[in-house]
Amino acid sequence: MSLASVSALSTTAVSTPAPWLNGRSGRAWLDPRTKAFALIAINVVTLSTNGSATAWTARSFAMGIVAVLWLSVGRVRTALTTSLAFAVGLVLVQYARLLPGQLALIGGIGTLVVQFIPLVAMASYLVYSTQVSEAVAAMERMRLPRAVVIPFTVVLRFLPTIAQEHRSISDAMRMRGIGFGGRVRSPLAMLEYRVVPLLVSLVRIGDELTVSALTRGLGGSRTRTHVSRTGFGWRDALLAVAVLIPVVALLGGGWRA
Amino acid sequence: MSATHQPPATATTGGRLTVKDLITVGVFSAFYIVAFYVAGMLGIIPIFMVLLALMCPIVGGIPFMLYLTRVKKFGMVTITGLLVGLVMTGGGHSWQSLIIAPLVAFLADLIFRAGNYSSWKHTLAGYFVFSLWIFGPYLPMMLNLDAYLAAIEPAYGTEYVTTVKSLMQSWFWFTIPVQVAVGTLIGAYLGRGVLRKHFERAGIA
Amino acid sequence: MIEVRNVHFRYQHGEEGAGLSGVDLHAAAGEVIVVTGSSGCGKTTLTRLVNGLIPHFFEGDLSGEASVAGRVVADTPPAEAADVVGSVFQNPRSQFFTVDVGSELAFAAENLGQDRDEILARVTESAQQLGLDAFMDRSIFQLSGGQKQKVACGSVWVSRPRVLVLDEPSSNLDAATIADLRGLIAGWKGAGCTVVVAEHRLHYLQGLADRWLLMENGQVTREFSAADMSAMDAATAASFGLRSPHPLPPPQPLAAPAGEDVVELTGFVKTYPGAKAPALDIASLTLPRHGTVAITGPNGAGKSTLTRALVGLDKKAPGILAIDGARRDRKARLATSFLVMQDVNHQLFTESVTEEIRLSAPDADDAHLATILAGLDLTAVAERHPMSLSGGQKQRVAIAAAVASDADVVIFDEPTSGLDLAHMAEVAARLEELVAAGRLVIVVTHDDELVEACADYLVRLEGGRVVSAGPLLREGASGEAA
Repeated sequence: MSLASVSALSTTAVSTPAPWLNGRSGRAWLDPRTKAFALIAINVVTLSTNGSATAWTARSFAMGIVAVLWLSVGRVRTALTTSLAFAVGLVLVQYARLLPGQLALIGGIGTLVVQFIPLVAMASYLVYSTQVSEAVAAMERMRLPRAVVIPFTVVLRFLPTIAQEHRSISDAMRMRGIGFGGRVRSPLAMLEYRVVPLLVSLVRIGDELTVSALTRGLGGSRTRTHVSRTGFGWRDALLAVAVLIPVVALLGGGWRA
Repeated sequence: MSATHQPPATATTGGRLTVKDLITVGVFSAFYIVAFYVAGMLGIIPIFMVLLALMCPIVGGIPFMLYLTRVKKFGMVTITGLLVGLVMTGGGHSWQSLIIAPLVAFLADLIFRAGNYSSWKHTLAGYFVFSLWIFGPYLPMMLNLDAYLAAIEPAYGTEYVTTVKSLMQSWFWFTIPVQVAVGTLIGAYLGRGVLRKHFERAGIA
Repeated sequence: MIEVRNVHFRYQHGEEGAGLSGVDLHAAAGEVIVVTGSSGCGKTTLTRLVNGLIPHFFEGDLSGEASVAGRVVADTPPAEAADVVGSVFQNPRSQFFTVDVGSELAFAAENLGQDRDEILARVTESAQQLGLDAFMDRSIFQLSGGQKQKVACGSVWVSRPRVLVLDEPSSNLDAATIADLRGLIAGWKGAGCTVVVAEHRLHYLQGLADRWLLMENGQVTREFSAADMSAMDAATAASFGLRSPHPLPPPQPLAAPAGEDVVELTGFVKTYPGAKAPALDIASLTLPRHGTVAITGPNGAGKSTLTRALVGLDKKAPGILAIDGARRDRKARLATSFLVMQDVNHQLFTESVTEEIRLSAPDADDAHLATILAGLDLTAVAERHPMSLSGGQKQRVAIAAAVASDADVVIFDEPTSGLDLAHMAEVAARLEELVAAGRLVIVVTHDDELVEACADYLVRLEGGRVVSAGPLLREGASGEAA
């Protein structure tokens, strides 16, 4: 055992309690890398075009895993509603064709629900349960260069920013009577009115963010500290095995792209 | 309300990506991803999926043309491709995008660099190549159309599947590059138009 | 700690304002220095010199000597200077880099490679001090502007810099948060830090600042001691172009009826999904038909909810606005109201100022548009792109669009945050012009000085309810803002 790991152990023992940090609160502790791996596995399972009974079972299994993950962070309602939607989707896939005429098409919605709910629920779990400092620590642990880590965190930061700015701009458009049925009718003009103020706003926020980030030492020459500890534990092993089960089942059942 | 002081809008060509550049890469990648999702909402319905390859470069045109004026350094588009692939994989598209998007983005970056991130011909060519990442979401269907159709048959009925099958014969895959090319032209010219009409005059391009 | 000697700086891209022309600044440990002066005087530029953004990020010609904690500014990029200099900026929305409060508080210290256990201890301590411990897992996007600004201060302080630079930190804050900000600065001073604050709003720094520098055209033209400043009256401050150096007594509405011609609001109630108590609960409210109505109240009092409901933007907020006997439902309000947003960038869409006005009045002839432009002093920029204008000009473009539209109700959301005295007075004058033209003008603001300068009627909201409403006595002749 190296000196470094000994000292790491001892610091853990005496270190200051930080209840806000994942793993010291009631939240399940999983390494972000494991969660990312699980996401890819679930993507493979749910989006595969395999239509066999095994495939539907594998997807249900995947949904079960995601529901458990949501339960582990205490979001019972999310776990229940996603599972329920998934179940309804399954029923539609199986029985919609019995409906008369065009109504049978709602089976298509069932397919969508079954394919997307587990995946989107997993992706939102990943985002919800992972603090940014954790994600950065995990990515640097994977030796991803700064040129990837910084833009990635900026994307996380800007997806909600875009939504927020867009709401304000939509408000302004409605107030000024810009919209279909309003004063502007061409779709390209609509695109222009929506996109131009939004981009101008985002560029400005990006510039101000740059200034702030630089003065907070981003991109400096020092080696970054990570307050979040990354590392694999038994939960990670459990999740990895669990998500591999449906993948293997699909492979065995004639997995296709 | 404030009199905001904007940093200089001009971007230097070449050199390493600075923190400012990396943040810009993140901002525009996020916007591109959102624009794609808005266009792709329709693509979820299989019949609209046929036109996704056309819509995507059109909607992305305005942000992408502005992006190319804000950073002019090798690697920017590659990182965007990687981020697009990552978010797509998490957001409901097949994992193949994770490989294809960075790959075509890297090729696009080479083309942009050859044109010094300013030649219009290289911009068109590079944006076309970048937009080819749209093959990612199509790939599972492409590789195995029969299995895909078999999967949706119970839901959509045999008649529908037969129609789609006849539509999506092998020649359909050749329309994708054509769609991307047409979309690229429309998107790039639209983007350049808006660049001249707005962003240059507003002092941010 | 800070040694600036005869520094000249000119921005490479000229549009940035004055730059610096021979500035000296010497600041010792434990000193709080306020730099003030009208917009474009160079005070922001001076803060950028201290944190190294000048010359490393904002490029230009720099001469003279500048060092902070013994390190030469010209040789120390901001990311390297960050262990000594912490910076807080004006806009709470654009300063945070991460998404959750905990990560953000640790962000700067992590970048600087500080000791993990110390960071954890300081983050926990900061969270308690800022009253944010319950929000640690919360997305910063869900916080109020004031809370965001506290996170910004906390994130900087966790890394324990010895110099703090604040560029108009109070611009977007309400009175309670400004008081908290004062407390934070006092704590930093007590810990022996040097604090430089560039500000328009001065009163909250009284009794805290050791020296006050007045800048004009890139030069420090006057220096006031703490005693000078505490003795200075509003009129003297105004003669230097400064805002009130002392807190104004909170404006008190008179318990008098609104008069004969009245506007009536009824049934403005809104409960957000999942919330127990309504965010807005105004069963009825009477306002005068003529005059400027100011709506004030702390963050979270329901001001923004009321604004969106009044303009008719919130489809789920009922309510009837009756003006001159005509009852307006939501759709009618949307067609007859105009909101001048706090961030006017969100409401400018076209490629020239003229087109922007025309968007509001597609059928108006050119002569009419020209009159409106002239009235708002926009003739010279009529063909410019609205986004290329200064903040004040953009705001005037939005007002011109309001004037050109049919809207007879014009609502302003925080029109003077971050404005100096002259610009605030200008806004006040615009409001009065709109009132004189017969429009109903409502201004939602934290700015007591604006209320004093222009409001005829005051509505104070707390917890979604009207706690007081009535006419204000205006000392029309006090003159400091008019």
